Amino acid sequence: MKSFEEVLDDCIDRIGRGQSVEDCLRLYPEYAQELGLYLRLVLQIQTEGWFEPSEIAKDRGRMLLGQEMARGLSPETKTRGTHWWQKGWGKIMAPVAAALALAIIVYGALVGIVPGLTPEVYAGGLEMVGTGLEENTEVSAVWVTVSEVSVRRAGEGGWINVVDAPMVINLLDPEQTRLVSTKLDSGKYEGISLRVDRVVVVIRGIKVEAELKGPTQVNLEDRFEVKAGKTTVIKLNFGDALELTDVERPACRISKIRMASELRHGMPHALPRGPMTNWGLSERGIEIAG
Amino acid sequence: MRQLADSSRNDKEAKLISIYEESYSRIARYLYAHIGDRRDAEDLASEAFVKALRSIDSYEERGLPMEAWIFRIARNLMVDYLRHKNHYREIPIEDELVGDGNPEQEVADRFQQEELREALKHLTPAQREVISLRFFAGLSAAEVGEIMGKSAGAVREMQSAALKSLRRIMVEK
Repeated sequence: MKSFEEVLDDCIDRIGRGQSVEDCLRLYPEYAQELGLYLRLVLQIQTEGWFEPSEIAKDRGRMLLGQEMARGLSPETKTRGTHWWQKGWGKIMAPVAAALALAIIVYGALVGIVPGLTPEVYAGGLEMVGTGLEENTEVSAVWVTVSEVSVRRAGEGGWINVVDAPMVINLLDPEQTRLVSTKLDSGKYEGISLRVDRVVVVIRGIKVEAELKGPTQVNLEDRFEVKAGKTTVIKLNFGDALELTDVERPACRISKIRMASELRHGMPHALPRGPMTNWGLSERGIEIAG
Repeated sequence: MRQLADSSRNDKEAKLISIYEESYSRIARYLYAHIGDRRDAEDLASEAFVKALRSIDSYEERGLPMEAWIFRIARNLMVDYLRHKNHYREIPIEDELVGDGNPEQEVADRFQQEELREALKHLTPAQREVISLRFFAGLSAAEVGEIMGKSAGAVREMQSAALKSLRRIMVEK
């Protein structure tokens, strides 16, 4: 015969799986009176103690984890023993203005660095499908550190920082595509600016720091509108991925990396399997399914 | 060798990210049961994962399950936090109200939550830990035992004793 402690524990598990208190009391009539008192108390505790963490908090945690992963690549940049309450992390994500929300979601490959190629900004229902992620794929992650994201209001010329703390996104991870979510005044905007500080590529499980060439400030001269009471989702699709040269095997050391950007409206250009050297231009990129 | 080590680390990092998606909310709720501040609980939960990531090389796959290991890290952070704060911080109710619901109901809910947390303070630390892990984080008695370094049977006994104490405290009120 089960002890009262075992019966109580079993019933708590059953309630957790969706059964009712009454169901449990019917199962254990010999303990019904005492059991009922404690199971109702358990329900009260679970109800009163319940809270669902916000999506913003979860996103912030993902961002911190991404930053830490990128930071872990070079031991000298590791920071230990610093706590968020000493650094005031909570304030970093404070809304810029109490009006409307702007979510900028980066899709696809690397943020454009080559002058003259201006990605188009558009809103729509694209979903990112990460490809080249199977086990035999040589590149398993492309970590990009974006240290600033700003938007410019139409006509005023000034830039508004929507994020000024570095964040790291893995461009091959479809679960980590949100760059920033913040609040803005409603109205028309005519530009987005991103500053890219660092790119790290994981090739065959080895993390390699990429050398950035060219300007790391990317200005996208496109118009969008933030409407009252609505969340405007801007999806940026950066096309061609990366060109790696001078790869020294077997250490896979990359001495140079060049990036290009270009808008792709939904039609994919898949990350190729096999060695990453000498890719043809048409082979590079991340597949985006529209 | 270095490749093997990197590969093992990457596997562990991937597992940690997966646990983040599955268990972040549970860890935040567990922390909230102890500290009573939603935003701090959320931030502390994130900090636990970051700390776990920093120590990932020291994590042994054949030992404690990774989720239990992260709960332990969260518990240590919570202890540090409470030591830092030196007391349970009182949160103005209006600061903590969230959602689009009925404000009066939200205030009533908050009072009930405060009463519950007051009652929890009368339990022993181990009993409080069992209640927060079992009912706030939603872990099984065996999982609670892994985190606390106790058998599932011992957890069940503490759980029963804690509920008896809580009931007595709440009835007396």
